[in-house]
Amino acid sequence: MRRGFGLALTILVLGAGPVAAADSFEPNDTQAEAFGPILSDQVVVSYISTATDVDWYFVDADSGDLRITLTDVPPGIDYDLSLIDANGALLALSDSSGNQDEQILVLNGASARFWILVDAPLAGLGQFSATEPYRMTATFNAQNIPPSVTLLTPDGGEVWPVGSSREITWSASDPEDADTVAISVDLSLDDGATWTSIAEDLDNSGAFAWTVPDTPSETARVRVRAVDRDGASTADTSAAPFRITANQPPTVTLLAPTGGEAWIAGDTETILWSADDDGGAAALRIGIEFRAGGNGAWTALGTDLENSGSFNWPVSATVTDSGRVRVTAVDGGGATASDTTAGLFSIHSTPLGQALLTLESGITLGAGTTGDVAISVNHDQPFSAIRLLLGFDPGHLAARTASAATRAATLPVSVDIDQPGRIEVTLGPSAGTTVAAGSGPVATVRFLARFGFSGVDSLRVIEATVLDPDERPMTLHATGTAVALVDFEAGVTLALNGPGNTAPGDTIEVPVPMSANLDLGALRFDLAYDPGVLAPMAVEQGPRTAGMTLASDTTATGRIGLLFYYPAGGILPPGDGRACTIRFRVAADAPGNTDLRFGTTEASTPEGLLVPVTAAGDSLTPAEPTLTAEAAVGGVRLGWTRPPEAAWSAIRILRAAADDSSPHLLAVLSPDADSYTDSNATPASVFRYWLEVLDRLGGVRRYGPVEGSVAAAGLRVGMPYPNPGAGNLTWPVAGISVGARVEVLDTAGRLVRRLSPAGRGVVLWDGRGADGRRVPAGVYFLRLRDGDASAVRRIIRLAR
Amino acid sequence: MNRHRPLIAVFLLASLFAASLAGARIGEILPGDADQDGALTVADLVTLVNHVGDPAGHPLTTLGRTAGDVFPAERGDGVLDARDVSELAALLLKAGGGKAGDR
Repeated sequence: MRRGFGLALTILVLGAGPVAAADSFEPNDTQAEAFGPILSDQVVVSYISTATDVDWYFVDADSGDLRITLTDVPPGIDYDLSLIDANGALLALSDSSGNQDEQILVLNGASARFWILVDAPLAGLGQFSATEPYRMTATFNAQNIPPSVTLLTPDGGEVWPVGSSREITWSASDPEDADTVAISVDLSLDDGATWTSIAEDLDNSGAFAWTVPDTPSETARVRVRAVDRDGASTADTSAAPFRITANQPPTVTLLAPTGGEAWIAGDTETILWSADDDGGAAALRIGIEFRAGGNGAWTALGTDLENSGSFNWPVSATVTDSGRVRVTAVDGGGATASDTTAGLFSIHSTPLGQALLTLESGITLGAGTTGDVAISVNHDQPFSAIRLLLGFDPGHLAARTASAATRAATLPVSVDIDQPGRIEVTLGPSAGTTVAAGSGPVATVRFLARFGFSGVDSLRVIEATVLDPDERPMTLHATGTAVALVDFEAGVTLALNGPGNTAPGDTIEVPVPMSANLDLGALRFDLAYDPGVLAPMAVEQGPRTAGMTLASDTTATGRIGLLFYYPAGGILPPGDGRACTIRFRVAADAPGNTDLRFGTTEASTPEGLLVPVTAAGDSLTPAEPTLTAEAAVGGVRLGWTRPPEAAWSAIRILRAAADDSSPHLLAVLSPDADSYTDSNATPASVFRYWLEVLDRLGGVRRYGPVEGSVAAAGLRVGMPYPNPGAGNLTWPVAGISVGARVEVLDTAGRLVRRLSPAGRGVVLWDGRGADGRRVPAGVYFLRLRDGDASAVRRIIRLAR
Repeated sequence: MNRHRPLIAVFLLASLFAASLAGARIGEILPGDADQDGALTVADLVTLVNHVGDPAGHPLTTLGRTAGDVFPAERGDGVLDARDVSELAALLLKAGGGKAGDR
């Protein structure tokens, strides 16, 4: 449609036109000398050849549009273009700076002659060229110029999901219609074979928001058409197909809060998320909601938000310890996805306080002693509860008890020492109970130092929590401490004090003294004995253990176990003294000595600490006669010991051959006799001898046998000297061979010392045993063996 | 914390005082081991006696309570009292046989 008649001027800069003939228009330096008429679309090629040169032309234009363009302005030179009427009046001017193209457009003009002036405004400065031409064209036919249009998107290759919101963009112009063109958009799903209108009569805005229809296609194209007011149209189509795909739901991940946050109402906290979609992350719309409690309603914090990834939330005034946030993403196709806070976060009304928890330092504990470690909380506001887990070395320290201290005395306290090396102390919470602000101990943990350790042990805070009066966790700084351990070896000594000699059948009492320099809570020991010699009869508590419970166990043969303790609580007092007395009966036919020995020995303090025990045993010497046989020249000499308290009425000697188990009576002696020589023994034969004693009540006890043989003719022995004696002892011997052996035996027949007489006329003994110690005073025997011959001498050693 | 040190300490105590670790493995409860040091000694008896006489003043660990519940034998009765003390004393007497003090 044509608008009303009038002259409208538009100056545009257009591209270069086609090249025509060379300059042949001079002279044309005045309007009167103007070259023309220039035909429509004729290309004029000419020059501004001097500093004063200008070029005039004229055209006889038809009614309608007139377009004059000046192109190919030489480099570095500025030319201008003017349109002038018959009266010399300037109708239009195009004076773009530099060597840009110039254009003058006259729309809807009447049929008339117009003059055209090309000049170089800076020719005086040398901006002209006689060698490089410009080109000038005038177009003035009456035909309409169609608009131009270029489709920008989609131009091929795009993947647009169904339902997504996309922009179809283009660039369209129609200078003669001031770019006022109508735009229509078409869609083809079959690569341009058929088209469906998307939109009609759109303004030339350059863009159209299009919701992709639910028509998936692998060969979609868009066509945009521009129509000017004269009905002329131009269309452009996607250069290549694009894809319309089925819609996929978006993905969304809530990044913050994740749970555990303690937010303060009114503070601004940032909710973070990450969301994406096949239709493009930017196209997603976001909704954010908040919920307090597990089943409460969701409250919208923001709706239809851009997918910016963050949202600043003025935290709700709803105080809760179970807050959650949910973020929901919606794509253009209506598909949604949500994510919710994994854990719970809390919202508080006021800022949390801070607390400093410390363990008292500088503790020094001696072994076996207890010490208190104070726990202090220094804070700037009251708190309602404290929970802490302390670590220590159970090899050095034993956790005993924990209790609330002055500042937390109103709070309940619980202690758990289940885990070796750890102690858990919890104070409170108790509804409505708080501890006043300030500093000072709130709990005390009692430790016991074990024996045998010294140095430094660390008390460490493994975990600690302090809650404010609203039972919210406070910011906490916890420190540990060190305990200096001072070694101290406590000990208990047990000893057996049995009688030296006892008679068969006697009842003997063996006291057990105990030396202790510390209190004891329990004492245990096993006493071992020879059941062939002794039989336990009873155990009596001693003064030190009076009032304690005495438990004993004699089920094991040859062992009696004893245990003293206080079931109702109590201690053995420190000091020395007898712990108990054990009564034994000496077996009637038990010759020789027997040992009483300590087996297991243990003692414990009232705190339950084990302390070292040193135990010394003893031996008993049942008063039994000891029978010996020695080789003598011409016979076998028998000797025996006689207990001092023995009340014998007669002595009988019995003999049997070595291979004969039935002895026969050899002699009857007076009760005072202490030796007998068997002169009838056959040389080179070995005999066994018994000693039978008749007591005054008619009882008979037999001792032996011992073996004896006649000495070789060359062997001669003298009497040891001095005997009795305490120092060195000399025993004359003669006629012995190199292999002769001399031994010192005790009354039980045990080897005390082996001597070397070979090559000497005497045997020397310094009175010491094989261990180098001087032997105790008592009866001993010197025995010489030389082949089949032997000799025995009884000696008595005195104390020095 | 050095977790080996307690075990070393128990070993030393066991050596010094003839406490037997036989049969006590990690993860097992040694009957009578009221003080939970891994050995059956008179210290366990004292610990149990103290607890029975004054439970609040001498608390036991959970494992200690379980180990100290030795009456009736083999299974306990869930209560710590004088019978457990007597039974533990009997256990200690039967557990003799160490060498400390032997001549």
